[in-house]
Amino acid sequence: MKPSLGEKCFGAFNILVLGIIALLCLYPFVYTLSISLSTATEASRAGFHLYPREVSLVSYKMVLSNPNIMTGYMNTILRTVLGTALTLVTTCVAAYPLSRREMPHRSMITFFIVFTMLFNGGLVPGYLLIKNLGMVNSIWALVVPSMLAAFNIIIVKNFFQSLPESLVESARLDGAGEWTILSKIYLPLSTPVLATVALWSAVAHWNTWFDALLYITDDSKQVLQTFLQRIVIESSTQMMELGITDTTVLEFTGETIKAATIIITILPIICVYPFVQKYFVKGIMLGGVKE
Amino acid sequence: MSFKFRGNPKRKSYRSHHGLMTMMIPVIAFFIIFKYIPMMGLVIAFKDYVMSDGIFGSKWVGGENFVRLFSSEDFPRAIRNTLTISVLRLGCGFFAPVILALMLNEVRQQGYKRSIQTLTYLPHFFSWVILGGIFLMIFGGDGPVNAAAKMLGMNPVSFLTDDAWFITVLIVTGIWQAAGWGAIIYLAALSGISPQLYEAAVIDGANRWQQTQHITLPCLVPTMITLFVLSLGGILTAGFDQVYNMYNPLVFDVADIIDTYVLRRMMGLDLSLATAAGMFQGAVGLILVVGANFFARKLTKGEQGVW
Amino acid sequence: MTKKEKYVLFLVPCLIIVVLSLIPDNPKSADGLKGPSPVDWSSLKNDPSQTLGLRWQGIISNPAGKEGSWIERNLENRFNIELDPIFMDGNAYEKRRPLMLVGGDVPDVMWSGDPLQLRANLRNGFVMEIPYEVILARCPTYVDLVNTYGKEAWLYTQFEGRNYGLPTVNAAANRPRISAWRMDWLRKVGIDKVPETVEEMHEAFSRFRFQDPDGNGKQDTYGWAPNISHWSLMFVEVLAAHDVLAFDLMEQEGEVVWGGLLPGAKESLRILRSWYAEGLIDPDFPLDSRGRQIDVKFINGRVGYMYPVDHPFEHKKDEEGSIYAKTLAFDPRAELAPGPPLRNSRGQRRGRTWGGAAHIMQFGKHLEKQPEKVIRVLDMMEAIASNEVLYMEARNGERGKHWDYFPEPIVRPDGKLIKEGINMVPPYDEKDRTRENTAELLGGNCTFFFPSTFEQLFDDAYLPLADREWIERNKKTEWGMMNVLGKSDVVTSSGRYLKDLVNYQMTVYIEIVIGDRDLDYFDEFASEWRRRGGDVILKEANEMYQKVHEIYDVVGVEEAE
Repeated sequence: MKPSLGEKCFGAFNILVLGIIALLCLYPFVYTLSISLSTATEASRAGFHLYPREVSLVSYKMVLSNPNIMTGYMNTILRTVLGTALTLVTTCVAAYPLSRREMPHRSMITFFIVFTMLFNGGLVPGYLLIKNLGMVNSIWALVVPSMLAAFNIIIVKNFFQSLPESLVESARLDGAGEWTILSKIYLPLSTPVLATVALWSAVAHWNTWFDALLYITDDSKQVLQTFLQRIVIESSTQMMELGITDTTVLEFTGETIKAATIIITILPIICVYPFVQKYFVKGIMLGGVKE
Repeated sequence: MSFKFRGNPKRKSYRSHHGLMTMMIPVIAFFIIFKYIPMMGLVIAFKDYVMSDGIFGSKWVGGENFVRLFSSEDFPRAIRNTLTISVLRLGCGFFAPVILALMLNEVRQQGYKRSIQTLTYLPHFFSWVILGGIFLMIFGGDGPVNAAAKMLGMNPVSFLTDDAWFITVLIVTGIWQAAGWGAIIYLAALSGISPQLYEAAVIDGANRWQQTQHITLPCLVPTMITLFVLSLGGILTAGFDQVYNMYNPLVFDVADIIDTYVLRRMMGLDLSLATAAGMFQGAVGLILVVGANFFARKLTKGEQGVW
Repeated sequence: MTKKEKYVLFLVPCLIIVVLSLIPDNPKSADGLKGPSPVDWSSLKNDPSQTLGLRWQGIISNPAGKEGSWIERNLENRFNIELDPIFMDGNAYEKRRPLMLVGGDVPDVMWSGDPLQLRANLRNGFVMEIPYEVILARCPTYVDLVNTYGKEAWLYTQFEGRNYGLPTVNAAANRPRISAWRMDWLRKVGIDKVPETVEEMHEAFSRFRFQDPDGNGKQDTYGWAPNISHWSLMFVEVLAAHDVLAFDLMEQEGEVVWGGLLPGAKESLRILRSWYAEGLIDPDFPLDSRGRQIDVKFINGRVGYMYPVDHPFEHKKDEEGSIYAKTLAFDPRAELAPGPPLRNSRGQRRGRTWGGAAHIMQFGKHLEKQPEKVIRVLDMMEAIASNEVLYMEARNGERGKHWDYFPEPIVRPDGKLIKEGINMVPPYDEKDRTRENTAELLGGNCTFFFPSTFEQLFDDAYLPLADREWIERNKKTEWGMMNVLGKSDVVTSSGRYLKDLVNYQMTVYIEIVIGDRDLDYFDEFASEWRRRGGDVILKEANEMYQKVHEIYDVVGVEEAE
């Protein structure tokens, strides 16, 4: 059917607005990149900074020579990989029984799990628990508590429930046990939803800074985002609150250094992103996030 | 024909499903250890918690902490701020992903569609430490937004230090970050709509707008309801990460939310108050979610709901 | 789910709640807190040959230091201790430290930033009492220095008549912070000296705005962009010239009042308001909530005045990264001059200072069973305070090995400054050694282990001569005005009200200056300030002020009049 004039206009308008939205999504990063490559004087100029008029790589040199950045990277990567792997494995193990109708006390256990999404003990009991388990200042404090999340379990469970029952029945007739069914039948078919959960988990691990601030005391084990917090959202006001005016303690970080640090932190994400998103969006489309 | 089981039917089903139970047990253990045991710590909310007495030795004060909370100046204000921000976020931000998904759905050229989509959920990948840092620069006195304002002949705006503007910036940047990501979920739902429905509508003479009204939107409603119910649970959590990384003393009056209040109490070793505030937050969230789910089920006759 | 399951889900938590509430509580805290120290101090002897371990959480450090520095090892050798330092930056200090303490990891020695923290530590039973007699007996020299440079610190360490820590001082903070002016601009508009009164400042700002001091033909320059990032900086210069500290407790005729409600404050606001209306003040100033643009606007020639400035700068033109060098990069004609505090109506210069009273060193309550550690630390403080060599070692490292003193600047043939004052010596002076130096010497000027600084006594002697003269000329201690109680936090209700009151006041002051509110709103603000808790604060402050002399008597402060 041929689109009417009205529909064509709308189509063009639609494309235009979407284009503007997309550019708005891109602009803050372009701005930061430009500032990071600017000289100090150029950075303080008011304007749009779509590109730097005076280029300088000094900020990058300074940031890259900071060993904290490298250790931060390593720790963040480690935490992300480990955390995501743990999440995937445990979430599947949790979701599978809950998706089976024959599981005893199924809805009770589901509510038991979902309840934790809404209510939690807070910072202090959480810290005391980690401390008593001896996980303070170790990577386990960062990956274990967030390993199983009710939200993820629900998503995966719903997906499992949408898989045809016939597969399971025939597998059982062949004498397969629960673990076999899970690993050989459900998992291969669940790549879309697993990719989704993996992505959510990975992004969360990459970006979290608060738990590392509380639990990691060794700078050599600290993650990137916490260092970033130190540099970008400075604590100089805190210093002043405490009346610390010794200027060796108050070190001002220039805008260019902050911008360079930001760019360095997001660079891997931007590189990895195009590949990941292609795969993952396909997955979302295929599987659908069904209720 | 009916027959009775001999013995306890439950016991039989445990035995025959022992594989499933074995799988479940470590999971249940995890939740007990990492979620439910810390919940025991909530009892601090009813005590005058002092470290040297420990959790069980501290003096029981019943609801006194809650009375202190609500008679103070800053906790009710924190509640007010949290609700303001959350409701605004929900009101403005809930429909943004839907509209975005619908708009993207209309685009014919696949290549363009995909690249726009890619760009729109790029912001979701970055933490508020980063985005906060960037937006503090962009909305600052010498930033591009004010530069644009000056070019248009307006006075520079105190985006970050004026109460009302700060909230606006908070909401807008929050939507900016989340809309593209949320749109994915709706796009997925849209892709699940059978094309035959559209074909039938076309044959009946419906134009694009009518098609949207009668086919697309109703198909999105289930997803919308689920997400709405789930976000209601977070209504007293107005986005701590974002607020914390962007606020400053001058907007304290509107930006101090429950989570930042709890944090300050904790930093000042006022642990009973911090826990009481957190408990209040959780309880309200729970009531809202359960209530919303109940209504969703009632209104859709048991069709829709999170559980 | 089945009925049975529903019951379980409902009953179990109810049972738990009932059980928990029935567990008898046993608060020992109420008694242990206020009673006298259980330690028998008089019978203690310090055995110097006994090695004592000390878990030490010192002042916030940025960048974070590392264990095993030379400074640490030196102290360990000299005092026969084993130090286990805990380094934290501001963020970690605020957030991780409370949890650390709650989790039971209480250090032996703890630095606390203000009386609020002291009281929080006390309430939770983390810290122990250190009676005055013990401190007076073991560190007489240290006490003398505290009394000389920052006697208000004793107010920080006391609570309800008892003493809970060792006060620390920062003698340099007795000096007012000053400003910097574009001298070349002043000359260009016909003013030949740095403004000294509010009227002269007004004249200078007017000419900066309207007489094109940078000569570029555009009216793009302003007089001033006030620093609003912190209450201690907001409009301070003009307020002090009216003898007012707007965000502090002041003494008037024997009574403690809040500076921000005084007539002098209203007058200052009136003046600032008219300056803003005339266009002399950069209208963007309220946007800069974090003080990011203050030096930037000065450097790139948007304003001709900047506050605060702490260190000598005129002869540091060539020092890379200095404000002077950056300004010259923008405008080679620039000449910077220091602006000592403005003169008040009686011709005296007045500027705000934090005052020498700094912070608090506290001792973990568990040391009540190991009081010899407390004694060892007190002896250490006394030794360092009375010995210049030890003091400099604790701050900068060993003279001759790490650093040396160069009274006159050593300049390269091309005029570039190499060394001046305290400077590293080979091999520590090599470029790119910053990281190693930080590990060895904890960043230089270290106050981690010995937080008190006695500039007038020790450090000034190691300043470049030119700097010493500069301070004498521009930053005289006698010009300083400080909070009558040191920090407003000493009053017990400060935790409850003060932060909100200060935020409210900052917002109102800005609104009045930029014209969003009338000047007359000031009176309404004053009564609102009182209503929101200010009255409680003032009442407690006055009560404390009465007791102040008792404390000073005990510790031997010699007070004038």
